[in-house]
Amino acid sequence: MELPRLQPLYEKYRDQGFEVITVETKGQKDRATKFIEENGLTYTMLQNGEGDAEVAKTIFNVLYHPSSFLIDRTGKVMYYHLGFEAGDEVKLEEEIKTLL
Amino acid sequence: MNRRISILVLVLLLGLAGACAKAEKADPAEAAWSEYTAAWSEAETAEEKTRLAEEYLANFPDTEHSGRLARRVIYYRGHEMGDPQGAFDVVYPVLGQIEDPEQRFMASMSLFDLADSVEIPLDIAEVANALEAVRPLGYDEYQWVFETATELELWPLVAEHAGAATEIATPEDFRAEDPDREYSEKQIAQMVGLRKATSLTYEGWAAYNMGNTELAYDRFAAADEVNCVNYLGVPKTPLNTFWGRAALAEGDIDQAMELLGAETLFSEDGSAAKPYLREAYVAKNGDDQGFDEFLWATRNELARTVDDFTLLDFDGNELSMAETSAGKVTLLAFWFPT
Repeated sequence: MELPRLQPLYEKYRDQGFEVITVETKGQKDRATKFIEENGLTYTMLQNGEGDAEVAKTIFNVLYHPSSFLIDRTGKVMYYHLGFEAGDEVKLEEEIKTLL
Repeated sequence: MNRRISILVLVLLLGLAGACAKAEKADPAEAAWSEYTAAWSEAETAEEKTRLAEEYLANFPDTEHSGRLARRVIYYRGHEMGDPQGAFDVVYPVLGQIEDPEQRFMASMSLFDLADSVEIPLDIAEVANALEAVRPLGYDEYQWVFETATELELWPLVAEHAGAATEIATPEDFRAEDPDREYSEKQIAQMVGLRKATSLTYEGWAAYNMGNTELAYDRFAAADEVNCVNYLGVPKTPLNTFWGRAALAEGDIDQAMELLGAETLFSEDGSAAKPYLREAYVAKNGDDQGFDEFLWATRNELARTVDDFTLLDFDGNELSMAETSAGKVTLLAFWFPT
C-alpha cells in the first residue's frame, strides 16, 4: 500500500472536511509505528482488533490488501477500491471532490 | 598383526563395496542435475544456457527440476534467441511429464504467454490434455484453463474445465492440496466459496455462449447462492458481468441494468461491465444522454451505510469510526507495512 500517497490529499482537503482513517491488519505494531514516523503520516491510524474485535475480515470482508472505501458525509459507502497503485490518487482525488 | 591387517583390508573392501553400491544407487537424474548446475554457473551465452537446459530435459523430462528448465528454455531460446517456435517444439512434448505440479503449471503459463506473444496458434485444449496426461489437474490449473479459454471464446473447453473445477471446489480437496497449510475452518469456507462461485460463474457463461440459456441461468443462480460478495454486496467473481450480458442479450433490460449497475459502481473493477451497462441504458432510453447522471443517482440509491466500529490507535487511544468520520468525507483504508 502506498499509504504516503494519501498524505498530500489529506493535507489538501482536510480543511474542507476530508478525513483518512487507516486500519493496520497484521498486528505489526512496531513496523507500522516506524513506517508512520518515517513517512510523516498525520491522519488517523488504527490497529485492527483481535478475535471478536477484528473488523477487516469480520465486518468489511477484506481478503486482499490494500482495500479502501470512500464514504460520504452521511456515512454512505460510495466507492470501493482494491489496490492502490501509482496514478490511482488522481482518480481518488476526483472521487473525493465529487463528495466534498 | 596379520589379523589386524586383515580386518583393515576387510573394512576397506566393505567401504569400497559400499561406495560402489552407493554409486550404483545414486540417482542419475540427480547426478545430471549436479553436472547441469555446475555447467550452468559457467555458461555465459543464451545459446550455451539453452543447450544445457535442453540436454537435461531431453534425458530427464520428469524430475522436480524439469519444470524450471522448461521455463529456462522458453526464456533463453524463445525470448533471448528469438526462436519461439524452437522453444515450443522442445517444451511442448515434455509439458505433461513435469513432475512438480506447480512447476508444470508455471511452465504451461510461460509457454502459453510465449505462444501468445508471437502468435503461434497454441491449442489450449492440447495443452490441457498434456497437463492432464500424467495426473488430474488441481483447481488453480483448471481455473487457468477456463479463464484463458474464455478469453479465446473456446466455450466447450470452458464448460468442461469449469465443470471439473466445480466438482473439486470442496473443503476436502482444498485441504488435500497442501495438508501443511494452516487455515481456520472459516477461512477454508471462504476460499472454497470463492472457488465454487468462480467456476459456476464460468460454467454458466460457457453454457450461455453455447446456446443453453436454461443451464446458464441455473449455474448463475447457483453461483449467486454461494453469496461470495464484497462489503458492498457485489460478487467477487465476474458473475454480474456475465449474467448481466446474458440478460441484455435476452432483452431483459431491467435485470441487465441491475446486475451491470452494481458491478460497474461497486465491484473492485467495474470497467469491464460499464460498456454493457451503457448499452443496456441505451436500449432502455434510446440514447446515452443522462447516463452519467443515472450512474450518480444509482450510486446514491444503492450505497450502503458504513458499519461503526471502535479500535485503538498506536498510542492506545480508543477511537470510533462514527465519531471520527461524523459529517466528513472519509477514506477508510486497510493496510499493513511491507
